[in-house]
Amino acid sequence: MSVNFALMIGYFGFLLAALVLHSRPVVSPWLFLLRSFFPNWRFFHALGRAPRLYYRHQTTDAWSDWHKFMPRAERRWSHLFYNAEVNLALSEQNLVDHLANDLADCDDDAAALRLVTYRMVERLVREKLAGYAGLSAYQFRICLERPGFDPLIHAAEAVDNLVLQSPVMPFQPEGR
Amino acid sequence: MVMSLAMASRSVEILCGISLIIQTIEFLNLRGALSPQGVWTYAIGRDDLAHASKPVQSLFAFLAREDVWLLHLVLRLLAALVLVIDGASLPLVGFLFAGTLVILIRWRGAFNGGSDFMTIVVLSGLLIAILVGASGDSELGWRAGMIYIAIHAASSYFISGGIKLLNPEWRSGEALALFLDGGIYGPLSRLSLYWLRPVAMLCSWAFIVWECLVPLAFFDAELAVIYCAVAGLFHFLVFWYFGLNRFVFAWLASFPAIIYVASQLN
Repeated sequence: MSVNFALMIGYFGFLLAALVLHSRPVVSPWLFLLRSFFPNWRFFHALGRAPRLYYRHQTTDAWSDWHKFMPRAERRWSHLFYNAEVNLALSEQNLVDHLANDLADCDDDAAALRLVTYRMVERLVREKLAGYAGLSAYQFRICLERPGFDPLIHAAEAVDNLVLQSPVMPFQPEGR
Repeated sequence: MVMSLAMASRSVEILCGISLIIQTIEFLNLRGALSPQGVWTYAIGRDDLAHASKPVQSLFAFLAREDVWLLHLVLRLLAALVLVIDGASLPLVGFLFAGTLVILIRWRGAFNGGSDFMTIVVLSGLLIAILVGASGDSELGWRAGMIYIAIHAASSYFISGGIKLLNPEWRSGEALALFLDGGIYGPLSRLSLYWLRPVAMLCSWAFIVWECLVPLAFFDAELAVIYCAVAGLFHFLVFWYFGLNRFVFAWLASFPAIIYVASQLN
């Protein structure tokens, strides 16, 4: 029994050392797709600046204000057993996070437009705009924002936050 | 209090099956996002597999077809039901494990983060139990599977707590209020108690200490039961504030393994 406990204490000591010591991330397309086999239990570990998606649309000649994509939902008890829409919304925000990560590794604007994440976020924006009438064009951008950031209050900071602004694109709803 | 291997393994099968049923019903209703009109259309997603061999690309293109995807999810639902009713077998767990892999690759590696990781952990534990058991010693297989699940579950709490302990924003309580404010059910009301630094700090430290103390659960089976009961409350709160319902069931499936291993160590 004492051997078991010694092994256990050794294991948690190893975990503690791994937390304190900095390691180099391993990058590979397969490792990214199979990352569930290498669990990362560092949930909500640091505040940092989070990527946020903004989009705007044009009707005739006028542009709308920038809309912020911020997944929000009304809490329900039934969501404990079925929460597909909320989980999808969280996945959409994860997609925005992955686009921001990909952009950090991409120094070529043309290559950025070909990223899987860029093209998916573009679709996400089109999906969010699908309900609007008379759209002629749209545009989106990604900003890195600290928690509690309000573009109306911290206007000067907003310019520094910008990491991507898409070209203006004609609006064509998917599948039409 | 002692949990027998038979009770632990059967409990893991039932709880894992329930977790998979909930996930699969959600996936069935999220097929639109993967359709040719959806954000995760395979027309774009296939580029993630550009580095793969042609046969692998062809296999995933076939599996991503809407009719094949629907058939897969229906079979997965049935397999999860059989897991609850009849228990694990190699074809059943093998199918659920491989299917989880395909689903996660289709969602670009993960759909729901931590719950995907823990689902893979529990299914891996079941697979270990059956594969090792196939050598002739079924009990050895199940023991190995339970230990595997318990180690990962304990690691999840320890790392999650440890990383917060090292972060000054968590130690001061600031992080808790801001994460809650940015959560899916946010923003926090301006009158919320979580904006009060002492309250936020108390809550943060309660969870940090509790998570970091997970090794203690293995010193006594009754402590393990109490630890898992608090863990159940913790996961419910994570659901309540962040909408992460899948986390509740994914981690519940690991609790019998923690209690079993604690029973065996004492």
